[in-house]
Amino acid sequence: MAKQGVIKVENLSKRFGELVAVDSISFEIYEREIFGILGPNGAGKTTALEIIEGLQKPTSGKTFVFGKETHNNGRAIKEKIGIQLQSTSFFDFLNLKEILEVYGSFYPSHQDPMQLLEMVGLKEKAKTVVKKLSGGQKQRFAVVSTLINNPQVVFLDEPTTGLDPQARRNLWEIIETMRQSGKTVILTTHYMDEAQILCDRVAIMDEGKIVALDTPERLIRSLKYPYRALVKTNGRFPLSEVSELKGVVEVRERAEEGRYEIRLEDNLEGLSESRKYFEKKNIKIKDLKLETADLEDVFIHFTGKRLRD
Amino acid sequence: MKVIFKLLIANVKMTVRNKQALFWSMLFPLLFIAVFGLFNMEKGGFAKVEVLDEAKTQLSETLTQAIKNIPAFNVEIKTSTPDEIYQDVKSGQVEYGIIIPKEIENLTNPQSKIDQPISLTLYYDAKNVQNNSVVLGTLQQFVTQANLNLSQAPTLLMLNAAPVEAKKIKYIEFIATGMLGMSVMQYGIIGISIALSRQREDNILKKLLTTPLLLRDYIVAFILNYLILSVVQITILLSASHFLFNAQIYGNLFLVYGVAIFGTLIFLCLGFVVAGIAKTSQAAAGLAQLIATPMMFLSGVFFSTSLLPNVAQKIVQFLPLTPLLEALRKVSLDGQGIAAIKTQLVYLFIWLVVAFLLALATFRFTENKE
Repeated sequence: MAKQGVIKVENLSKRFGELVAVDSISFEIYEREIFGILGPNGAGKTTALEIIEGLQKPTSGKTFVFGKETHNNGRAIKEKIGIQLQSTSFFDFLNLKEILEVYGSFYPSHQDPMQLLEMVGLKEKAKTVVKKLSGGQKQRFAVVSTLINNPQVVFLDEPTTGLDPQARRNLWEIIETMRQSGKTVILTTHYMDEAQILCDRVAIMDEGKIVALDTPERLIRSLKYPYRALVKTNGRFPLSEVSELKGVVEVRERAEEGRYEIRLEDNLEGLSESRKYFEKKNIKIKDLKLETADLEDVFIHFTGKRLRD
Repeated sequence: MKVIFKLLIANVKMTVRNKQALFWSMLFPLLFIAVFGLFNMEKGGFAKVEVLDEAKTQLSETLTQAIKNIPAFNVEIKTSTPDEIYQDVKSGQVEYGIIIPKEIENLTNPQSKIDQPISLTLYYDAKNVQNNSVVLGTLQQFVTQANLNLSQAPTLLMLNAAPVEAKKIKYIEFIATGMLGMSVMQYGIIGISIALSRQREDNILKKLLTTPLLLRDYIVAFILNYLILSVVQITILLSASHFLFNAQIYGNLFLVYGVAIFGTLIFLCLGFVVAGIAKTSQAAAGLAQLIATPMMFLSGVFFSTSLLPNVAQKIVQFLPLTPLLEALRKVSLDGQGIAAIKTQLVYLFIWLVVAFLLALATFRFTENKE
């Protein structure tokens, strides 16, 4: 089945005075995928998202939703999409059900508020005001409020930022349900695990540019060192000697005494080479853990810096 | 239409449930009215008087009674000594001390010979100029009358003082209309600007932009809610001052409402302007106070602008609250019709146009990214 394009971005740029927030990015998002834009704060994720949604005007370039140019078809597009802003408060003094009813009245037809609340486990809170919800509940409400018009495309701007792990997993399930019900989801995040677990494809953004775009697996595979061995030894050794072994890309000393990170090529030959080397030098391996690289490594590889400092 | 109605209902719910804001907008002006109503301004002319009757005769008692009957006096009969009366006046405990001497009994005693006039002593504070002229005049007149009566001279000339029952505007009535203007202004400039800038700050307005809702509909619902509230506010103020303090409205009640709502629209636009200029809700609160407070004092809420220096009068007449209060008072206190407030209405109309254009130019739904 041919992939159906839902969103198309062409050479999009946005400047605020001297600052280039978005620097000529292009990509396409397909139907029923969860598409992640991963990047540090200030990378231009939100700006890019808000231009696609029609909330901001581009400096140059074009964005299309359902094949229609965003800025000429604002209302028609908004009827079929759902948008969760990075930070929104809802009306004070209205309860959850009333808020959803008000938002629902903006659309030609809308979902049943109670059903939506039930979907995110907030049915008991229908008569509660937003102020009295916990952080996770608030965020669940913000996310489910985007579904009031049963949209085909849902935009989520950092849906899990600031939540505890439990609440984050909870939201991931909700987002997964959205995909299962046939929606396309575009989300921004600065959590690489979130992008890795949730997203079908990830665009890595830094300083306004998309530095890489593919499925998380392929991005990781494309690294020179898709694996890393975390070893603990009883003695020190010159790092350069190990990094020159066959199959080893790089060796780093970890902060903790006697712990090293050995980055390995795809064939894992470097692992056996290193063990041979340690045996020869009479160094004992006290602990060994083999990990696959993650999107953080991909990010470091493409930008030369860590995602979060 | 359906959307506007839904939004209006939601707005009304939010307003009614926001107890704190409701308190400030509805009850605060009422507190003012209560304070001014309870503190009776008309009582200002009362003078505290002590009378020491040393004679205790029928004549001296008639005299004391007569002093008691003088309306401006609040009289206390003392049994102390003349020196104590003097001290009471000197220390400011009372404003006047009158001593009726023992010798007064000689007046009614045919045997006694009066070779020199008997003097009534009046102690008073020389600094109390305004009241003194009244009190001294009253007593002087009283003494003259007594002299005439006692000497049994025929009354040849008398003053026929014919008081006319004139309409007297009570201060509470003046204040009640002042409060009406003030609360309409405050709720508009302060209430609206804070509410709007907070909704913008919290991205509530931005969230609305993510939906197909026409912002025009949102603004219409917002304004309708505000107008409904304004009518409630006006009604509460007018009924409280009428039923609690008997303040009258001498003109057409509907015209009073009409003028107040006209003013409401101006201050509503100014509220949008303040919300448009201020970056945060705190800045909006400050700016709104900065505009509303001087206007409250200068435009004649508590006292007539005619008490201001000439130059100031010329300036304050261009503030929107001044013609609003003038028009309200002309209708409410002077009982005048729409023809009499034409000038004020023209000023108000100009303000409405200016404020509306300013609101269009300055108000924005989202925070500008710099």
